[in-house]
Amino acid sequence: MITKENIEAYLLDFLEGNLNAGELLELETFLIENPTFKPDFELLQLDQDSQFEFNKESLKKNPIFDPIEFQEIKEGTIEEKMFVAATENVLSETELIHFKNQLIEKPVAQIEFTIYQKTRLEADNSIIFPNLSQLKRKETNVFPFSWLAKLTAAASIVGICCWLFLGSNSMHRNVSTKKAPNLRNETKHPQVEKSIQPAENIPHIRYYKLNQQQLPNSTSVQTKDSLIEPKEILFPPIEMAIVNNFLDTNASKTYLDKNEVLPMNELAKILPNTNNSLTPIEFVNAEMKKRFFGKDNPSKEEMYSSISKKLSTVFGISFVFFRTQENGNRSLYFRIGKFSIEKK
Amino acid sequence: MNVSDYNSGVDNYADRLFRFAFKSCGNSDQARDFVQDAFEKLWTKLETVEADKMKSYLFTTVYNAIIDSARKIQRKQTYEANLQTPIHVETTYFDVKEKLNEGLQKMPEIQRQVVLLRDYEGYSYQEIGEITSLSEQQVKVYIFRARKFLRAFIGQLEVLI
Repeated sequence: MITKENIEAYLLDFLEGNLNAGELLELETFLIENPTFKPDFELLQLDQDSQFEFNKESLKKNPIFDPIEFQEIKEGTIEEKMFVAATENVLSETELIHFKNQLIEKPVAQIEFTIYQKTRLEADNSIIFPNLSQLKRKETNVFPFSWLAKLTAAASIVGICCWLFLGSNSMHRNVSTKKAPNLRNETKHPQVEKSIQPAENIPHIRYYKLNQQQLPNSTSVQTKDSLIEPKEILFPPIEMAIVNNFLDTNASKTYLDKNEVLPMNELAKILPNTNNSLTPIEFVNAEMKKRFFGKDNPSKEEMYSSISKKLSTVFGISFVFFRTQENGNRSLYFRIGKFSIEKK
Repeated sequence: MNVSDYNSGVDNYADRLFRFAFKSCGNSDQARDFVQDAFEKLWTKLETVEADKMKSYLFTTVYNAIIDSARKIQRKQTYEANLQTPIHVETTYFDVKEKLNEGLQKMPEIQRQVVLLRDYEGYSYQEIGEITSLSEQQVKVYIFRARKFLRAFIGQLEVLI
């Protein structure tokens, strides 16, 4: 029988489910008769119900997986890969859901992930390149090489070619002045053989041999001997072609004048697509430009650019030239590698 | 690429390159030289480098310069280390950024480069691979190691606060 003294024992038995149907009925009757114990009973009932509402999900485990992006990394733990992948923002949607669930379940993982996120570096925008303008280039009057250097280079090249051209020309001129009559008679002689052959491979410059062979019975021996030395002479192709023309087809002329139009018969064989209305000087200039700058009439900028590139390629140092003009004041800025000169 | 593209490149990338170089080598003068040299090289190749490849070209050039320089310094330090007794300096940190910067300097060179390219410039793993001549997989490994290194260097947050 339930009394006020043993009610607690009955309540405990009720909680543990040890009461039979008769005892349960007796307990219920007792609580109706003694309502002061009812709140205790209800409290116990609530606790009992809450036990059945235990969060089973919290006991479940999410599957452990390697983030796809880092699957091929053969070092570190899966958790570390997850933290790094999440920091890198390379987790797929599914991976992200799993990862977030893990963070919810594990407060320690949350802290760890917070630290990993701090490993992302932020650019310090206060760090800027000092004097940005010095890196910029002028859009107009930009020349990759100085006037002086350009003129020196061009003058040297033209000088060498003119020396070769005029040198041989003067040689012919002298000879022809003295023995023009004989030359006119003998230049068409069929027994003179001329051949053009590649000479030794001299780097960067291609030369040809000009052989003058005379037959034993030739009547022009003396004249030809005086015209061209009886030995192998190295000529660049341009001059050689002029000499050939002079000897072969231009019998009416004793020498080539600077302003004369070249007879291009032989020259055309060696240098096809040559404009045959050029004077020798114009021809040499055009040929020079074509060979050095890739065009007959390159602009100044193209010429400077080409020279600059060649020099940079050969020496491995950049050559830069600026010319500016502001309010009538010219300034020059010349730089070779890291060394610069500015003149105003 | 023309002069206008080149000058736009100066505006857009000079500061970023400088930041990258400065954080890599820790020396502003050297960083400035790296950036200047990169633009010098770009200028000499103005006609061969396409405008849309300019950024990549510049970062690649600076990266290579940093690596070359680091190798020289490493050789020098190795030589000097043999002559001197190392001195241990303990530093107290009050800020995560400060700590990270210290960690960044102590990190292996290649890891530092890839993580800087990743975080500063937002380059993909593939793009970083193109700049550094590494495979995409290698880049991922270096990024992973760099993050782990920095995480270990930071230690516990409580220590920093």
